[in-house]
Parts: sequence; structure tokens; C-alpha cells
Amino acid sequence: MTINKQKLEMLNITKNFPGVEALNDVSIVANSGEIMGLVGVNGAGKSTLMNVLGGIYPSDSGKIILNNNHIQLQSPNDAAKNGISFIHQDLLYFASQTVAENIYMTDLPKNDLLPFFISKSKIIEKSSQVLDMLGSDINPNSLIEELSTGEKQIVEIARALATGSDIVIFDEPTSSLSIKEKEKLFKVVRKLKSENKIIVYISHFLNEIQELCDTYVVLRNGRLVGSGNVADESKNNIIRMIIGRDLTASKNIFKETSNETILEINNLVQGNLLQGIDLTLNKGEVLGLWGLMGSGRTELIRTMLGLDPMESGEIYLYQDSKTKKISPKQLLKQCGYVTESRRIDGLFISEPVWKNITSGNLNHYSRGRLNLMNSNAEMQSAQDHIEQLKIKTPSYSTSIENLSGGNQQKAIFSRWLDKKPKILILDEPTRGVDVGAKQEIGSLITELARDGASILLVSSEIEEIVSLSNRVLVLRDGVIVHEASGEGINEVNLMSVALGKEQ
Amino acid sequence: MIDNIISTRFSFTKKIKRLISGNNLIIPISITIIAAIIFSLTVPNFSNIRNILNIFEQLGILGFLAVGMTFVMIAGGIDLSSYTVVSASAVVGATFMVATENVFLGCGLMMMVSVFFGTLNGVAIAYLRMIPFIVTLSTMVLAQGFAIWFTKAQSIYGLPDIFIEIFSGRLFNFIPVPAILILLVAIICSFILSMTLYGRWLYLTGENEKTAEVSNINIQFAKFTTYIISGLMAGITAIVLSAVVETSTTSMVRDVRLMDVIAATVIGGASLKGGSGSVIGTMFGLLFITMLGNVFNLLGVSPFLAMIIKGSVLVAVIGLDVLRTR
Amino acid sequence: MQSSSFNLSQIQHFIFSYGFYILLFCLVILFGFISNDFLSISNWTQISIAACFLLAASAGLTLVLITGNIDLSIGSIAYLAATAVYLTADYHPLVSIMVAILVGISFGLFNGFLVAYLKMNSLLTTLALMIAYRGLALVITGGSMHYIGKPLASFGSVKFFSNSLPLIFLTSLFLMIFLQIVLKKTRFGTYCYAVGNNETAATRIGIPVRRVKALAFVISGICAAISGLLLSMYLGEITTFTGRGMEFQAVAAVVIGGTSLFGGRGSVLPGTMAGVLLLIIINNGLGTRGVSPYIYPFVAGALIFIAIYLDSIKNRYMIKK
Repeated sequence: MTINKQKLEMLNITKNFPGVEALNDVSIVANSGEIMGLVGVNGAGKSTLMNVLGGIYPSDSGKIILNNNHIQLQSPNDAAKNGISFIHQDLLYFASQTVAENIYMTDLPKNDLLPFFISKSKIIEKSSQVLDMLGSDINPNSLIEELSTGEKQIVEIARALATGSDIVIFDEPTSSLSIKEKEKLFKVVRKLKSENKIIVYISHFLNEIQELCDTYVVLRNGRLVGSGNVADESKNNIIRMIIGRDLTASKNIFKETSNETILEINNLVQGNLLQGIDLTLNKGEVLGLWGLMGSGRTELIRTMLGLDPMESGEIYLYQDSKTKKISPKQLLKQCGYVTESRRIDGLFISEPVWKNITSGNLNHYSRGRLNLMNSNAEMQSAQDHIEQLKIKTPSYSTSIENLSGGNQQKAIFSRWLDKKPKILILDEPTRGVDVGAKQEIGSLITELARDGASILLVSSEIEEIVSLSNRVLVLRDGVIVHEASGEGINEVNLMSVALGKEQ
Repeated sequence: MIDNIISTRFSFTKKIKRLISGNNLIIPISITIIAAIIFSLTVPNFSNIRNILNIFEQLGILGFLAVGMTFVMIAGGIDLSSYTVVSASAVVGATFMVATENVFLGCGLMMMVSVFFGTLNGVAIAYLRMIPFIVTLSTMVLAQGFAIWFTKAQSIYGLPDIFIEIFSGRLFNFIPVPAILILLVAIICSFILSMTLYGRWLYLTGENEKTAEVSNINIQFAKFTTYIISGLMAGITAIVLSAVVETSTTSMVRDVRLMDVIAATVIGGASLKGGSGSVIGTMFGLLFITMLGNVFNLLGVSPFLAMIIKGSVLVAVIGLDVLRTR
Repeated sequence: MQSSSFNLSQIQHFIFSYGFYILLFCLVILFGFISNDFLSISNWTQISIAACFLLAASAGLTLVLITGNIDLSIGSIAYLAATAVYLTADYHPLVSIMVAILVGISFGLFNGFLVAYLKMNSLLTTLALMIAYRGLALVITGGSMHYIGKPLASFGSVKFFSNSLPLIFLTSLFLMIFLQIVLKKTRFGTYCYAVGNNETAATRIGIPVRRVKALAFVISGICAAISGLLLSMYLGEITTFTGRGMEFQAVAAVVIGGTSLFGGRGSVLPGTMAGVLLLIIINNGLGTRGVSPYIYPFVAGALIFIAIYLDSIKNRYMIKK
């Protein structure tokens, strides 16, 4: 591989979406052999900036200059032609095909004798080369769907390399990886760096940025607020730049709550992941469930609520001083559940806000034997929630797809609040939500617990867990490995438990 | 984002507006009215009372299938089998009626057969989670095969006079009974869909099954019942059609009619993806399609040419639907 | 990664991949036992003749399904091609063949344009076109039966290895082999699978998705036309029933043969061929037993049911991993 020093400049990039100023005059410079960390909260503009670089949409104004050449990026194809590869959070791969085919899909090598055909031997040979270069031992002949998430990701990186990309963008690559896979990924990224690629690494995990990146760029509200060398800057300063103020060290301020158990789960087993989970939830407490993605948190909740089949396990609900064994589906009836990805199973995207809000409590609004819907009451309820939670929407009848992520999330919260459930299960409740809304939701959670609701809070954001929970359970590879309470709820402790014995 | 909180009055007009649900109904209603006007001005005999009643009688026959299809499509599915289930139900009931002169039981049998096929569809699709298109495709073949096997490919004549009089007669010597029936069914179904909890379940299930499940809606039940309803509608069609043509055969509803029914629902605002559609829209859509066929007839257009045109119209409608949702 | 010990998921994997062929094999043996005639050469000649029309059409349909679409207009295209043969009956047979294939290309192109470029839903669109195309053919033929005339009828009945393989079967066979090679060995074939597996990814990395989908429809059109061509050549006549219902049989055969309705998976050989053979063999097998011809639709319907049930299980099984 030729070792060229390359320079990428994105100058004065501005991008507007209807009603939202996503990027405002952002300029960055990246050099080859460097890993640039791109940080900021959700909605700060990181993904937008990279989408512009990836050719997914063009900027409204500004220039992109690669090696002193002005380039136009109107489509992902243009980006590919200019050697830009984008490794997305949702891996893009071709399930039923082999690793080799996935790597060389855009450049399938031809058979020497019959140029119309693909040469299987060549494709395997070249794939092996690229995988070796990345230090991976994946078999090019294996079907990609049989690989783990981390391995799939490496295949995608291999594809970037194989297509001769000189610029590789990573968008939150570690969200779905186990700790071991993360280490493998870092090794690969460093390999890319040694091959003189320009690497942009988007992540909100500051630890990773500090560990991996050479330079950093901080975006806030669509503007560039800071940049420089990682070595020269303290983590606190970077945090300050990200949120615009000092983050008071997330301290847990709660004492132990009542020992009155409301929910008990014994020995829950599901699939290959959940090996036997025991869990108790007390009345009026916020029980934090922490673990990286892939540790089984969402699977646990879905199984608990009957959305995925439970192979074995028992659920006990304590109601009116009585213990009752119930089925997962019955538990679902008693709970409110804010899901992890609202786009997939949290929203009725084409429906108006009010229908989204009342959908969890429809029985309440139906009257009479024919179960007629009292839409007036529904709309009034929606209006009340909108006011209470300060949901920004032109009206309750606006289609929910027109709301920003944070407001959509608030609307989903309203849905469950409307039901007034005894147990509230929150899976990544502040994902894709801006800092202001994050605070509001945090306060809401605390208030709800104070009013007597029992909350199971699942999150991959440690600050959130630490600042809101009364007790914390740490989940790792489908097993609960630790329970923390009181003083034990702090970032250091929880982190070390998660990293614990695997090293 | 505009930070407006608009206070509103929950008036009667708003209720009507909600019934018409946005701009979904503008298209079917307007093209039907426009077409009606054009046809009555340009096509001889179109606005003749007899012809209009004829149109409404036809509406009365396909209408039930269209209503059934609407339910199914709102919940996100499709039912390709309803038109052959009509034949399957009709021949069983007719054979019984001819043999025993018992109209009541004959009709009952027709309904039972159609609900049986509906259950078959419903169980496979809602509970076994199979793909609606293929399931109903195979049920379609099954029902057709059943009808042929049951009758050894013979048509059944000699249906009891009472039966024919009741279901194909004219009320006050004027309004065709099928038209009254479809009007009743349409009103009831429209009410169910737009005003009841069950209707809300269907729309939400069709819009996003996963979210609906999380919201504690029983999506299996929702989807299952839509196929039962579709089956019921096929049964009603079997009864009405047998009376109107005074015979039960193995292909009472031609396959081209399936296209008409689907076209009607799509014109009426339904989408293959689910979550939208309405009985009113479907009925207007069906009216449009029926008028089209009627006009072809009046103009002496070859039935084959009519097939081409109808097929093309449906293609155009689907194309427009794609544009609409983009 | 899977462990190397012999566990349940490996058995499941084996069943999913090979179970169907085992079933087919058992069925052949079963029928062979039940009826003396079943395994005779003349019976198998019958089977291969009955199969070849469906084989040709199903081969093209397989490609469309792999790209994640469906083509329900193939029966009508077959009829249109047969009509074209009728119209050119006075000319040299080669002219008829060329015109028929041209018909397949034209209508396949139209289908491809609507689905791939105008992004219309392939199911509803080809369902509607099925009617429109058939109407067109009916207009041309006046809705009645026509003889092709002697030259082509005799063409169709020329046998190759005297008394064993009819020419038309060989044509279908070669067509299948050709398409299977295209699928597995050419760039286009790999693209078909890619588009069916993950259209978003395919677009992102620069695969000409629309062209691939459209080309699949063109191939499907050509195959349907060939089927109609073979049918008219063999029967020496065309009727209003030509190609009628073939699309549903073809879909059944392709799905039974292992091609997933979800796209991205499947094969012409051995998959679709086995699917077609299964259907034809069952029909034939029941026939030699003297079973009422009315049973066949039941069996076909039941088979499709089972096939798609297995397909949906397979799909969920794959997603879980």
C-alpha cells in the first residue's frame, strides 16, 4: 500500500433541516495516521456532519477538500469513489452470503479464463489478505450471519480496506460490543492508523476517546466548540465543552428505600444469553440495571414482559399484601415500558401525538358495552400531558413523526404515565434526547419514585444510573454479577465490576 | 419547533372531520363524483334509473368482500382467498338447500364454511405468524379445489324460490335488497372501525405491530379476527350472489374481481403496509370501479379490453399510492 | 460461534438445508412402491414433459424472488408469448422464437421499470398487470382457440435420445443450468442476493440496485415467454387457458424449493427444480393411483402451507443468530 500523507478538510459546513439548524459553520481538519474523536451529545451534529462526509446528504453550504482538491459528495457513491467509508452503528451486511463476498461485493474479482464469472479462489485469497492485515482470524468462507456482532463489524472494516478507502468513519461502534470485542476493535482501528488512514471516531464514551484518539473535536448545538489534541486536554474540560457547563460529578443522593418488595423474578432463562436471573424490585425505588449492550438487558426485559418467550423462570407480584405468581404477559399489563428504540417499537409514527399518548391505556377511554372510544377525553388527556411535560408540538394532533427525538420520547413517557402503572420499566429512556430533556426526564423519574412508583431503569449510560438509582444491579453476559447500593453506587465501582475478572 | 399550545373546542364538526380522517377520503370521494358527472354527461343510458340501480346492485355484491378486505388491510394483512371462498361456501349451502328446502340452515352452512376458511387464514397468519399473501394464496387454491371437488365441477340449480326472493328481490319493488344489506353492513363496519376500541386496535396493529404489542394490545387477536370478518363477508356474498344469479357454481366471483376489491380499498386509502383505510373510502373506491365496469358495458367495450384498462387503472392507483406515501 | 459438538441447532441446520430433498426422495420411493407404473420410463417422460413448462417459468421467477420481489404476471406473459407464436405461425419457426422472447423482454422490462424505478409494490402491481396482460392477449386472440399449425407442433415432439428426453425438457433444463450459473458465478447473481439480503446496504455501497431488480424482471419475462413458447409448440395450439394459474404454481414451486419470500436466499438448481418436481410428481403420482383429480389442489395448497411455514421459521431462526 502506498503511504500517502492525506489531509481532509471540511470547511464552513452548514446544514439545516426543516425547523432545525443541525450544523452551523463547522470546520474540521483531519490528517492521515490520526484518529480523530468526534464528540458531543445526541443531536449536537456529529452524525449530521459525518452523513455529509458520507454523501448521504449534501451540506447547504461549505466545502470539502481532500488533499487540496475540492470534492463534491452528492451520494454515497461519490463518497465511496473518494475513498470514504462509513461504518454505521447498524451494520450493513448481506446475511446469507460469505464473508469474502461481503468484503469484496463492490469489487468482485474476475476469473482469468472466463471474465464473465467471478473467481472464487481469488476472492478468498484477497479476503484472507485483508483480514490478516487487520489481524483477524475470521474464515473468509464462512457465512457472515453466523458471526458475532464484533466479527461482523470487522468484516465491514475489511470491506472499507478492500475498497481502498483512505478515510474511515466509525459511528458509535462499540454500542453493541462485548469488552473483548471492543479490544479487538481498538486493535483493528490502530492497525488502520498505522496504514495511514484518516480515521474519524464518533463516540459518547469519553473513556474510549481518551484511550484511542489522537485529536478531538467537540460539537454542541451544531457548532464547533472545541478541538485539539487529546493528550493536552483534561476529561473534565472536554465534558464542559460538550454540555456547556460543569458536570457535577454524578453523585447518588438516595438512601435505602423501603424493603417492601413489589416484584420478584426467579431464575429467568432465555435463549443462549440469559442464564438464570434473579431480581427483586422494591416499592418506590429506582432499581438501576447496568451493563453494556450485549449483556442481555433488553432481552431480560422483553422476556420478563412476555414479548419474547421465557424458557424457564418465575415471576411473583406482591399486591394487596398477597404474593401472586403471574405470567409474563400479565406482568406486561401491570407495567409501563419505555422501549429502547422508539423507532422500532415505541412509536406509531404516522399517528398523531394524542393517539400515541393514549395507546397504552385504551381501556380507560372506552365506554359502554360497545367499547366506544371517547376521543374527546383522549385528546384532553394528551393536552394535559403535553403541558405537564412541556412537550414541544404545534398541537396534540400533529403527526408524531414531526417531533424531535426528545419530544417523541417525552410523548412515550406520557403514554405510560397516563396508565399510572405501579411498575415502570425504562430502557435507555434518554437515548437520542438532548441534554435539557435528559435533565427533565431524570427529575421526572425521581419524582415518580417519590410518589410510590417502582422503577426498573436500564441504561448503558453510567452517569444516569449513578445519579438516579437507589440500588444498582450489574449485568454481564446474561448474568447479574453484582449488586450495589448506597456508597457503592459510583462510577469507579461499577466500572471495575464490569471490567472485573475478565482481565 | 413552535411552542404553541392551541386550545380547542371539541365540537361536532371536529367529530365529522375526524371521521373523514384527513385527506385520505378526499381522493376517493372526489374522483368518484367527478367520474360520475363525466359519465352521466357523456355515456348514454348511464344516468338511467335502471342503470343506477344496477350499479348499486353490483356494489351490493362485491361490497361485502371489499369491506372484509378493508378490515384485513387495516390490520396490515391481505386476503387473496375471499373470492374463491365465496364459491366454496355457496356450493355447500346450495347443495343442502336444494336437498332439504331449508333456507335457514342452508345459509347457515354457507356462513360456517366461509368462517372455517377465515379461521384457517387467521390461525396461520396471526398465531403461526405466516405471511398473509402466501397463506391466503394457498387458501384460495384450496377453496377453489374444494368447490370443484364438492360439486364434481357441476353447477347447482334449483335453489328454493323463497331464498331467491328474499335475497335478490327489491324492497318496495324498487331498491335491491343487496344494496340495502351492503349499506347496513357498511354503516355498521364503518362505525366499528372508527368509533370502537376494537377498531383502534386494528389501526394501531397495522401501523406498528411491535409498538402495539408493547402497548398491551393483543395483536394476534386483532389480526385473527380480521380474517374471520373477511370470511364472514365471503359468506354473505355467497348468500346474496347465489340468490341473484339463482345458481351456485365453482367460480362465482371471477379472479378479476379480486383486483377490483383490492383497487377499491387502495383507492379508498388503505395501504399494504397497514394502519390506514376506511369503509367509506373503500365503498367510494368500489363505486368508482363499478361505474367504470358499467360504462365499459354500456359502451360495448370488449371484456378483454376492459381487463386491460382495469388492470392499468389499478397499476396507476398503486403508483399514485407510492407517490402519496413518499 | 457454534461449538463443535453435535447439538440441536446443528440438527436443525441440517434439516433446514437438506430435509426437503430427503422428503422428495422418500416420496419417489413411496409412489414407486404404491404403483407399478410410477417408475416406468414412459411415466417419467410424462413427468418431464409436464414439468418443463413450469420449470422454465419458475427459473426466472426464482431470480425475482431472490431480489426480494415477486412476479405474478408470468402466466399472462406466457400467454402473450404463445399469442405471438400464433401470429407468426406462417413464418419460419425461428422468427416465432425470436418474437416470443422479444415479448418476454418487453413486458419484463415494463414490469421492471414499474417496480424498480417507480418503486411500486411488486405484489400488487404484477397482480394487476396479470389481468391487464391477459386482457391484451385475449383481445388479440379474440378469446378463442387457435392452432399453431403443423411445423411447430412437430418441432415440439421431436425427441432427442429417441424415446427418452423430449427437446422441450432439455430446453428447460439448459435454461435452469444457465440461470443457476448466473446466480452463483456472475457479478449480477451475487448482486441479486445482496439486494435481497439488504437493499439499504446494497444501495450504500454502490450496487446498481434498480438495474439489478429490473434485470431480474426481464429475465423472469423471458423465462415466462419461453414457457409459453414451449407450451404452444408442444400442444400445437393456444387457448384461453394457456398459462392460466401458472404464476401461483410457480410461486409455490419456488418457495417449496427453498427460495425465501424474504429475499436473499434460494437457488434454481437444485431448489426450484426440486420444488417443481415435487408438485408434478405428486400430481402424477396421485394420477397413477387413480385418485380423484380434485384432490390435487388440496395437496398443492397444503404443501404451500407447509413450505411457507418452514420458510418463516427458518427466517426467524436466522434472525435470532
